[in-house]
Amino acid sequence: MFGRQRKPSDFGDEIEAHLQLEIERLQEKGLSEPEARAAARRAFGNVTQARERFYESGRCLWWDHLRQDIRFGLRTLAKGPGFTAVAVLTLALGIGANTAIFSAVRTLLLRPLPVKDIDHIAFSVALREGYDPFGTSLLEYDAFQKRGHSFSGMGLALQQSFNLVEHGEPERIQGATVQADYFETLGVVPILGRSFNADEDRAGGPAVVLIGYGLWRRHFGGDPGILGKSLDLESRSTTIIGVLPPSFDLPNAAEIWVPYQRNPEELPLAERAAHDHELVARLKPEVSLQQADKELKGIARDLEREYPRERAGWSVALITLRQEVLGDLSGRVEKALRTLSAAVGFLLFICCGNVASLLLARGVTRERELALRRSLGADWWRLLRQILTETSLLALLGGLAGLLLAYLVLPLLRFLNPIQTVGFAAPLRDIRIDAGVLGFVALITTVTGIICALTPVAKAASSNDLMPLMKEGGQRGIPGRRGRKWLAVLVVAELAIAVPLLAGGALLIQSFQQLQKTELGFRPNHLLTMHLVLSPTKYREFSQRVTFAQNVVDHVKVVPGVRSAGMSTNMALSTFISYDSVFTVEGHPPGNPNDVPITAHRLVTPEYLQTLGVTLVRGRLLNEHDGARGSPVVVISEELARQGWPGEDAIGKRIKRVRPGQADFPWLTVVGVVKDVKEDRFNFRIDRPVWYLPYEQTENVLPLDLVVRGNGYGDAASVATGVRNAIHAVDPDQPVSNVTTMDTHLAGVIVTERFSAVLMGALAALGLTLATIGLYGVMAYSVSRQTGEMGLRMALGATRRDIFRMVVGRGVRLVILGLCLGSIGALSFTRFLSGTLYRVKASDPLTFGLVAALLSLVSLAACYVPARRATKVDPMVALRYE
Amino acid sequence: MSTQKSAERLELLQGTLDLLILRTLIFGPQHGQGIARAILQTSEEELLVEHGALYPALQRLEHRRWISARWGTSANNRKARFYSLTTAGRKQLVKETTKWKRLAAAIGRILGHKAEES
Repeated sequence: MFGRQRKPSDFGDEIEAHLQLEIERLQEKGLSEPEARAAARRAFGNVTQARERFYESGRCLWWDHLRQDIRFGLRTLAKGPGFTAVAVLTLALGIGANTAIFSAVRTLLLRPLPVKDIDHIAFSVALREGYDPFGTSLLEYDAFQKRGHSFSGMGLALQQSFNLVEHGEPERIQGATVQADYFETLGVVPILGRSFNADEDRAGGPAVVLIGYGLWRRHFGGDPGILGKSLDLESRSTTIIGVLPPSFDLPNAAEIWVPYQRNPEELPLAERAAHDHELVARLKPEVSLQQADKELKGIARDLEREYPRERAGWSVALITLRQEVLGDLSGRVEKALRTLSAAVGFLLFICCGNVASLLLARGVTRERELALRRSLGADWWRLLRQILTETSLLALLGGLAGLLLAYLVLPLLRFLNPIQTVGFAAPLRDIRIDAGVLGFVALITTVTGIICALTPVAKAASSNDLMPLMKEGGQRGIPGRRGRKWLAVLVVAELAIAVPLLAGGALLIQSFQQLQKTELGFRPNHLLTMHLVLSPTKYREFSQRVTFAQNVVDHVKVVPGVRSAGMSTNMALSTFISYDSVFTVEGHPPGNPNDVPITAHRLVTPEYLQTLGVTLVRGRLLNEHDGARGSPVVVISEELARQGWPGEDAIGKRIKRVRPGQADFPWLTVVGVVKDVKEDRFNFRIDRPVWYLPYEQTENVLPLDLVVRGNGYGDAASVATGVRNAIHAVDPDQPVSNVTTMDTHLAGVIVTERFSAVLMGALAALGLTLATIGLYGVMAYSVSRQTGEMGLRMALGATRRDIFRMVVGRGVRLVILGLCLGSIGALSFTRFLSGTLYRVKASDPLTFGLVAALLSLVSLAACYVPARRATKVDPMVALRYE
Repeated sequence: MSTQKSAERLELLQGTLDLLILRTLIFGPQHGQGIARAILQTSEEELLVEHGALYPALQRLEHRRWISARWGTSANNRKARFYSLTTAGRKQLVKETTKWKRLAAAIGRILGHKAEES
C-alpha cells in the first residue's frame, strides 16, 4: 500500500541521497571527488534499473500494461476509422445474430417455466402405428403407478372446458379436472389459498375449485378476499379455495381446475382404456428419461398381453414436459433451433474471418512496428497481449452494437414465433434479452476477440526471425510465403464455412416453399371460423343440438357479407384435437387383426363442404336430404378411396366405423369422393384419409366449429360481429370462442418451418454477403502485395496474360479446396436437417450445385477484379514500388 | 575497493538479504547507504551487496510492513530516508533467524560429515 503511494520522484531523491552519502564517505577515505562519484556509482550498480524495478514493484504491472494496451489500441482504432467501422459492423452482425437466436433458444428451451424443475418432469403419450400420439389411459396410469419404479410422483389431468356466465357475455373457459397429485408432481403452489387435498379428491368430495391468476384478475379484479366465494360452473355452485400463480395454465391453457373425484377402478373397462388423460410424472433424480421410457415400454408390452382386446398395437413413449408444452412431439422446434444456432455460429466464424483478414492486411504493414518493438526488448507475451487487447476492443464494440441489433430484431423473432403452444403460451412467447442472454453475449464477445486475434498472432509467432522482417520493410513487394499462407487459410476457411450455411438456408427455404405450395384441398381465403361448445345441461338431447346447429346456420347465412356457412365437429386444421376413427370396408376385412385402418372423423352439416370449398372428384357432396331419417351416407377423400378400394370406383360401396367394445355402427354408403383435404394440422405433411358424415346421422356430444365463407366484400371483423349476433339470437347464453380467419389459422400451421426458413434464409444471405466481402478483401489485398513480384516478372518478360493466369490460378486453387471442404461439411450439416425437410432431399444435388456455382462465381469475381488491375500495372511503377 | 577484492566476496544466497536488513536495523533506524555499509562491515567485508539491489528489498519489506520509513537527517546533515524495524519486523527477524540457524546447522552437519568421509 505504501509502495503504491510512494512517488517515483521520492525514490529518486532517496537514491540521490544514497549516492551523496557514499561519495562523502569515500572522500573522507581520501578519494578525489570524481573518483568517489565513479566508485559510488559502481557500488550502486545500475541506477536506471533500480528505478525501473521500483516502478514495477510499486504497482500492479499488468494493470498498467493493460491500460497502456487499451490506450494504444483505442488510438490505433481511432487512427483507422474506416477499418474500425467495417470491423465493428461485421462483428456486430455476427454477435447480433447469435444474440438474437440465443434469446429464442433461451426462451424456448432453457428458461425455467412456472413449474418446479421442469426438466425432470416427463409427460407420457400413448402411441399407435398410424395415429397421432394419444393421451394416457387409466389402465396405463394404474399399471405405471403399481409397477413403475422410475418416478417419485405422478398425477392425472383431464381437459375440460366450462361455460361461465358471470358478467354479461357468456364465456368459454378452458379448465381441467385434476388429481391432487397433479399439482404435487408439478410442484405448483397456489399464490392464494391452497391446493386440493386428498379428501377433496375422493369420489363424492366437496365442490371446490382453483382458479388461474388471469381469471382472478379478469373476473374478480384480483380480489384478495376471493377464497370461500362461490363460482357457478355448468350450473353447479363451487367454492373457490385457491388462486394459482401467474402464467401457470397446464393442461392446455387451463384457468379453472376442479378435483378429479373419481375412482378409476370402479369405471368400466372401455372407459379405463380410453386415452383421454394427461399424465405428468416426476423422474427420480437418478433416473434418466430414456431409462424411464424403457421401463414404461416394458409395462405397455405386459398390458398388451393382459388386455389384448383393448391394448393390442399400443405402446407408450415418454417425452419431457417442456417438449409437450412446446407442442413439439417430433422435436422439430428443437431441431430448428439447433440448426439456427449452428448457422449463426458459422456466420460468426465468417465475421471473425473477415476481421482477421482486415487485421492481417493492416498487420502486415504493422509487421515492422512489431519487429521493431521486439528488437527493442518487448517480450512475446506483451506483443500478443497487445494484439489481443486490440481485437477484444473491436469485439467489445461489436458486441455492444450487436446487442443493439439483436434488440431491434427481437420483435421479428416474436412475430415468427416457431411454436403453436397452448400451455405456457405467455412465457414461451416472451422472447427477450435477459441476464442469461447478456452472459452469453459477454461470452461470445470474449471468444470472438480471441478468435480474431488467432491468425495475426499465429502469423506473428511464425515470424521468429527479426532480420527478414526488418528487411522486408524495405522491400514489401515480394511477400514471404508466410504472409500468403495465412491469407490462403482465411480464403479456404471462409468458403468452407459459407457452403454449409448457404446450402442449409437454400434447402430450408425450398422446403418451406413446398409446404406453402401444398394443396390444401380447400379454399382458405374469406373463411371465418369460430368454436362453439354446447352446454351439456342445456343441450341434453342430441335432437336439441341438431336444431341448434340448423338454426345457427340459417341465421348466419343471412348476415350481410356472408355467402355460406356450415358446421363441423372438427374443422380443417383445428388447433384442438383431431378426431379419428377406425373403419372397415365391406367385403375387405383387414388381413391382420392388428392392422387397423384409420381415417380422420368429421361430422358436418349439409353446407359445410361447399363452404370450405372442397373439390368434388366423383359423386355428390352431402345435402339436406341426408338427415336423420335418410339412409346413412358418407363422403370420402381420395386417399381413403385409394386405401379402401384400390383401383376401384368407391361410389356406391359401403364402409363403416368400428370401435372395440362398442355397439355396431351402421354401414355407410359412399356418395361422393373429394380431393384430399389437409384436415389434420399435426400431420400437415402427409395426406391422411378423411371422411365426412352427416351431423344429423351420427349422435355425438362433440363441440362444433362454425365455418363462414364471406363474399369477399365486407371486412372480416364486421362480419364476425354479425355472425356472433346471429348466434346469440338463437341462444343468448351460448359462448363463442376462437373467432379467427382461416388465413390466420393457416399461418399458424407451418410456423416452425417459417421460423427456420426466414431466419436461415436471412443468415445465409448475410453469410454470402460477408463471405463475398471477405473473399474480395483478401484477394485484392493478396494481389496488391504481389505488385512488386508482378513488376519483376513483367520486366523479365512475362506477358499480361501470364500475370493474369498466375493471379487467378492461385485464387482458383484455394477456391476449389474451400468448396470441397465446405461441401463435405455441408453434407453432414444438411443430413441433420433431413427430418425437417419437406419434398427436398437433404443432399439435393441441384441445391448443392447452385450453392457451389454461386460461391465459385463470387470468388472468381473476387479474384478477377484485382487480377485485371494487376495486369494493368506498369512494370516500372511496380518495380519502383519497392 | 579493488576489483580483485570484490571478486573474492561472496554472492548473497537468495532470500538472505531480507534477513540481513532486518538484522542490521535492530540497532536502530538507518538509511539505505548505512545499511549497505553495515552489512559489508559486520560481515568483515566478506559479503557483496550491490547497493542498487538493496532498494527493491527495502521496498518489499516496507510493503510487508516489517519495516517503516521516514525522511530524516543523517549524521553529516544530509537528508536521507531512514528505515526502522516494526514490531512485526522484529517477530519476523526472530523467526527467520531461528530458521536460518537451523538450516545452517543442518547444512554444516552434512558438509562436516562428508568432509570426514572423504
